[in-house]
Amino acid sequence: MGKKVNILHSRAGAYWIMVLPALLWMVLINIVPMFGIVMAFQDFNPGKGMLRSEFVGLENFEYMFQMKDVSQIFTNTIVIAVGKLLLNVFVPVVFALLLNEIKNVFFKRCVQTIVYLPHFISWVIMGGILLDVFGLYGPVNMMLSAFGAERIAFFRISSLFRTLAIGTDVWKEFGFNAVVYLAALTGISPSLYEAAAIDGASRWQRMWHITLPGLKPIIVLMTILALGNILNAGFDQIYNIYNQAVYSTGDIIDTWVYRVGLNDLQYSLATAVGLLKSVVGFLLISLSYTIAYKKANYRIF
Amino acid sequence: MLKNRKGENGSMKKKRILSLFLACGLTIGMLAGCGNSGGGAKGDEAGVSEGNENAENSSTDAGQAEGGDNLPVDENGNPSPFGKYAEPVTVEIVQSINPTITMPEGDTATDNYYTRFIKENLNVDISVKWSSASSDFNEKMNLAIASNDLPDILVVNEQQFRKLAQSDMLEDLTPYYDTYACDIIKQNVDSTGGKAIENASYDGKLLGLPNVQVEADGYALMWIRQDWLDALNLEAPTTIEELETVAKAFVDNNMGGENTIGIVGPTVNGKVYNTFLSINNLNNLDGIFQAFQSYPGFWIQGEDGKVVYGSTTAQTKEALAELNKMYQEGYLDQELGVRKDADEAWKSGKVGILFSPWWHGYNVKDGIANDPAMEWKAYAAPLAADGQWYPKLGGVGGSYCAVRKGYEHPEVAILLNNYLRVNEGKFQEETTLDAGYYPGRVVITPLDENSVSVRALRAEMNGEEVEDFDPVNYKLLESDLSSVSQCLEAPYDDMGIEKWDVEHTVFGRVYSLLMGSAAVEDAADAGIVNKIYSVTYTQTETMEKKWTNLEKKENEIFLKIIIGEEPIDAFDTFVEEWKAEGGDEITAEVQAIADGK
Amino acid sequence: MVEKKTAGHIAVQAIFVVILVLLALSCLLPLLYNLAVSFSSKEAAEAGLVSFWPIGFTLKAYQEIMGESAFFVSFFVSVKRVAVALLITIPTLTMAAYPLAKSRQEFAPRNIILWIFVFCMLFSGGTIPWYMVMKNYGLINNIVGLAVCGGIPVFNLILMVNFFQDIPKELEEAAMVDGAGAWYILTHIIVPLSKPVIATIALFTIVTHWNDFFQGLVLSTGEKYYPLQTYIKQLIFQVDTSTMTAEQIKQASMMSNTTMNAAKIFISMIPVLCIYPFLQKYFVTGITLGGVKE
Repeated sequence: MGKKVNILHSRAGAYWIMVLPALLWMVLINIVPMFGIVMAFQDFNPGKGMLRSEFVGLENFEYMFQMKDVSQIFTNTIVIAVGKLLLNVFVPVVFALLLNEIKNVFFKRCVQTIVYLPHFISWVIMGGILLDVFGLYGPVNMMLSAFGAERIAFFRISSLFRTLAIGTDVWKEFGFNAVVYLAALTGISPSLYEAAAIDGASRWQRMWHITLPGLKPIIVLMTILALGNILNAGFDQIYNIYNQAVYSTGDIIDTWVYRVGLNDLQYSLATAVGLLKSVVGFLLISLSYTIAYKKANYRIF
Repeated sequence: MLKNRKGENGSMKKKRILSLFLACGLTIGMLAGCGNSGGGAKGDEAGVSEGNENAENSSTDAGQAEGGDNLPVDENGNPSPFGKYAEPVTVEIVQSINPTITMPEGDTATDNYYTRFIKENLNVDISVKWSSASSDFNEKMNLAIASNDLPDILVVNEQQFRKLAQSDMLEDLTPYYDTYACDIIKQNVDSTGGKAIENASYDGKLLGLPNVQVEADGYALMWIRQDWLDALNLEAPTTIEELETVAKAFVDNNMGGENTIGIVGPTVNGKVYNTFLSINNLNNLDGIFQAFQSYPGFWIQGEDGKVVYGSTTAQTKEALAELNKMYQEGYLDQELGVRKDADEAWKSGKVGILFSPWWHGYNVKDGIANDPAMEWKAYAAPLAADGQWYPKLGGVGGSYCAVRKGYEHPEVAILLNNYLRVNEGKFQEETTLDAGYYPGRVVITPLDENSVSVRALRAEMNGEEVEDFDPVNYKLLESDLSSVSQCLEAPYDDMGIEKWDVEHTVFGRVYSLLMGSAAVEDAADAGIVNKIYSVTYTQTETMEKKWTNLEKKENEIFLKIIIGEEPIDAFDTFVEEWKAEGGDEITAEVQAIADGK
Repeated sequence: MVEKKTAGHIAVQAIFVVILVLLALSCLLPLLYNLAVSFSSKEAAEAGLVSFWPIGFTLKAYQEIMGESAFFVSFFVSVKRVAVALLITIPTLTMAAYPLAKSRQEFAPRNIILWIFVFCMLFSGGTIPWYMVMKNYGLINNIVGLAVCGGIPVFNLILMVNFFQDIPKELEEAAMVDGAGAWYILTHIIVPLSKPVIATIALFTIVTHWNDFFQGLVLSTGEKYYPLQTYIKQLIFQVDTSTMTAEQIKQASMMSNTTMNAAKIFISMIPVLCIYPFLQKYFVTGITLGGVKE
C-alpha cells in the first residue's frame, strides 16, 4: 500500500510539471489580455485608456438589442451557423466513410489530397471565384440555359442566400474537416472487420456496427466543441459573398458590427458583441457536456 | 499522505500564483501606459509600470524646454515656414506604401531622396514606426489609435481623425498653423471658403492640416465608348431618353460581344451613389440620379431653407423607376449588386457606358491593351429635363496630417508640407520615388487646378498664348504643357485615340484632363453646371446610433427596386419607415446645422 | 478474408468512385483557375478572359517573382515561424495532454484545468489588449512571438486528450508494474502509439501558422518581417473603398497585377500541399493503435 501511495505521489508531481508549460502559455497569452473585456462595459476612449474610460454598464448590449431588425440579424446568424455546424460534421464523416471503402491506396491518397485544397484558398479569392461560377454568365448558368432554364443571379436572391452560404462553406472545408475522422479511423482495429467478415456481415453492416461506433466519440466531441461557434456564422465568407439585396437573409452579427464600425470606430461595441458570442458559446458547450454526461453517461473529455 | 499531496499542490500553486502575479504586473503596467494621455509611444516601450509615468513627464518637460529653443528659423533667426532647426529633430512617422512600388537601389524607408532633402533643408531626421500597404493601412492605424500607440505625426482619414479628436489625442495646431503655414497652403485652404479649416477643427481647435482635393475629383462624368457610337452612327446622348436609346443600341448590336453591358454598375457592395459620408464615384449611377435632380445620400437644403434627405424625395422615386425600367429592358447592368469587378468588365471591352471621375483616363490604357480600338470619351451628361447638369460634389478633403499630443515639435507637420507643396514640381523631375514616401504628406491642391490646366493646355494646343500662372501653385502644369506634344499627335483638332501615344508616361494625366476635365469645362462654359453640395459631410449625434440601420434599409430597398424584386411603391413605405425610425430626428439635427450656418 | 465480387458490390464501389471523383474535381477547379491565370498574359487575366486554361501562355509572372526578394524574405519568415511553432506546440501539447487524459482519481485537477482551457478557447479580450500585451512582452517582429501569439491551441489539446484516453490502460499498467515512471511511460509508450494524432496536430499547426495573415500584420512593423500570407494579402485588392480617402482610391485603382498575384498564391500553397501526402502515411488504417485495441 505504502509503495503505491509513493508512486501516486511522485506521479502527481510529474503530471503537474507536464502541464506547466501549457498553463504558462495559456496565462501569458490567453488570460492576461482578457482584461480588455472591461471595454464591453465602457465607452472606451483610447486617449484615456481602460482605467479611466467611462463605465456605461450594459449600454453597449442595449444598443444592440434596441435595434429594430435585431431578430433578423440573430436569425440569420444562428440559421447559417447551425447549418454549417451540422453539415460540417455530417459531410466530412460521410466522405471519410466513403473513402474508407476504397481499396486502391493511390486513388485514395489522390482524392484525399485534392479535396483539402480549397481550404487553402482564402475567402477573399474564393468569394471572387464563386461569384464567377454562380454569376449570370458563369458555368452554372450556362448549364441552366443549356437546359432552357432562365438565368439566375444566384447570390442576389435572398431566399437562396443561406443555402449558398452553408453549401459553399461545407464544400470548401469538408476535405480538411475530414482529416480528424480519417485519423480516427486508424484507431479501429482491422481484426474487428476480419471477425465481422467471417461472420458474413455485409459492407453496410460493417459500416454501421463497427466503423460508425468507432467514430462516435470524435463525432460527439467535434459537434459539442462546434457549439461554441453558435453565433459565429463566418465573417470572412459572408463579407465576401453577400450584397445589399440579400441583407434580409444574409446580414449576420459580424457584418453588422463591421458596418457600424465603418461609420465610427466602435471598440466597445465590438468587444461587447464578442463577449456575448463567447458567453453563449460557453454556456452551450457546458450545457451539452452536462447533458451528455448526466443522460448518456458519456464524457467528451 | 493527504497532507503530502496538498503540500505538492501548494508549491505548484505558488508557482502558478507567481506567474499570474508577474502577468498582472505587466497588465497594470500596460493599463498605466495606456492611461497616460498622449505621448504614450515612447514611454510604452519601457513597458514596466512604475517609472513609466516619471519617464514620461521628464521626457515631455525636456522636450518642451528643448522645443522652446530649437525652432525652425530663417537666416535671421526668426521662426519661418521654410526655416531650419539648429539642433537635429527626430520625427517618428508611419507609412502607407504599395508593395509593388520599388525604391531606387540603395535607398531605404529612412534614407531616400525625400529624407535626405528633409535632413538638408529642415535638419529633421525621419524614423519609421511602422509601414504597411495601403490596403492594410487603415487596419493598422485603427489599432494604433485604439492602443494609443501613435507616431509623432500621422496622416489619417475622416473617421480616424474624428475619433482621435474626440479622445483628445491630438496636439492643437492653431498657433502653429498661423505662424508656420506657407502662403500657398493658406491660399489653397482658404479657397475652400473656410470648409477645410472647419472640417479640421474640433471644439474650436485646429487639430490637423486638412488636405484640399481638386474639385474635379467630385464630378461623376459619363464615359462612353466613342468607337461604338461611331460604328452605330450615333451621337453621344445628352438626355435620359437618348441615353436609353444609345445603351439599348449597344446591347442590341452586341457591340461588346454576347452579353454586352450597356451601363455598368459598381462592384459588389460598392455604393450605387455617393453619400455624404462616402465619396467614391467609381462606376456608380449618380449620373442618372442627377438627371432627375435626385441626390440620394446627400442632405439637401431647399430654397425654403428646409433640409431634406435626398434619398427620400419624389425625384429619387422617379429616378429609381427609370433605373428599374433600364434594368428590365436589359441595358442597365444585369449583374448590378453582385458584379464582381466593374473595372474588369470595362477593361475587357464589354461595357458601353460608365460613370466615373475625370481620372478614369489614367486607366484607359489597360483597356486599350485588350482592344486597341477602344476609345473612351467623357461628357457632362445626361442633363436634366431643364437642360442643366446637377453634379453632386463631395467634401473638400478627407485626410488630415495631425500631431500626437505631447510631441515637442508640432510645427514639423506643417513645415514638411510647406516644403512639399512648393517643391512638388522639382520632386517630380528629380526622383521617381513615389510621393507616398514623403513623410506626413497630405495632398493640397488649388481647387481649380484641373480647369486652369485644361484652359492652359487648350491655349497651348491652339497656338495661343498661355495665360500667366503660378508654376508652384499649379505644380504639374509646366510639365503638362511641355509633354502634350509628345503624347498627342498634332494637329489637335482630332483627338481620336489612335493619335495618342498610350505608352507615354504622362498619357494618363493629359488624356484625363483633355477628355474628363475638359467636359466639365465645356459644360461650365455653356453655363449648365449647378453644383450640389450636402449640408453636412459628417455624422450627427443620433446618426451614431441609428445610421447603420437606416442606411442598410435604404441600400437594400433601392437595390431591390432597381432589380425589380420590390415594386416601385415600396419606396413610399421605405420613406415612412425611414422617418419613423430616426430619420425625422436626424433631419432636425441636420436642419440645425444648416440654420447655424 | 475473401470478398465476394458480386455485381452489386462492384456497382456500389463504382458509385463511390464516381462520387469521390466528382468531389475531387469540384475542389480542383478553383486551383486550376488560379493556375491558369498565373500562366496567362496580364491583359487577358485582367479582362477576365481566363477560365481553366491559360490565355496567352507566359511564364512572366513567375520570372518576376523570382526577381522579387521581398517574396522570398516573407517565405522564409513563414518557414521559420512554422518550424518554431511546431517545436513549441507539439511537445507542450503532448506533455499536457497526457496527465489531462488521466481520470480524476489519478490527476485530481484535470477537470478544472480542462474547463479553464475551454474557457480560454472561447473568451478573449479582443485585438486591442492582445496587441498591447504582445508589445509589452517584446514580441513584435519576433518569430517566437508569431509562434505563440495565437494562444494555446485548446482544440488541438482536447483532440489529443481524447486520443490518449483511447489508449488501452493495460499497456500503461504493465509498465507501471515494471516500475516505469510517468515520463518514461509518456515517451516510450504513449508517444509511439500516438503517431496519427501527432501527425494530425502537426498538420493543423502547420496549416494555422502558414495561413495566418492577421497576426503577422499586427505584430510586424514592416514588410521585411511579414510572413508570406501577410505579404500576399496586401497584394490582393479587395479593398474596402468606403474608408479610403480619394487619394488612396486613386492609387489602388491604378495598380494591380492579377497574374503575378495568382502566381504568388499558387507558390504559397505549394509547401502545405507537399506536407499533406507526407503526413498521410500516418493516417492509413490500422497501423498503430489497431493491434492492441480490444
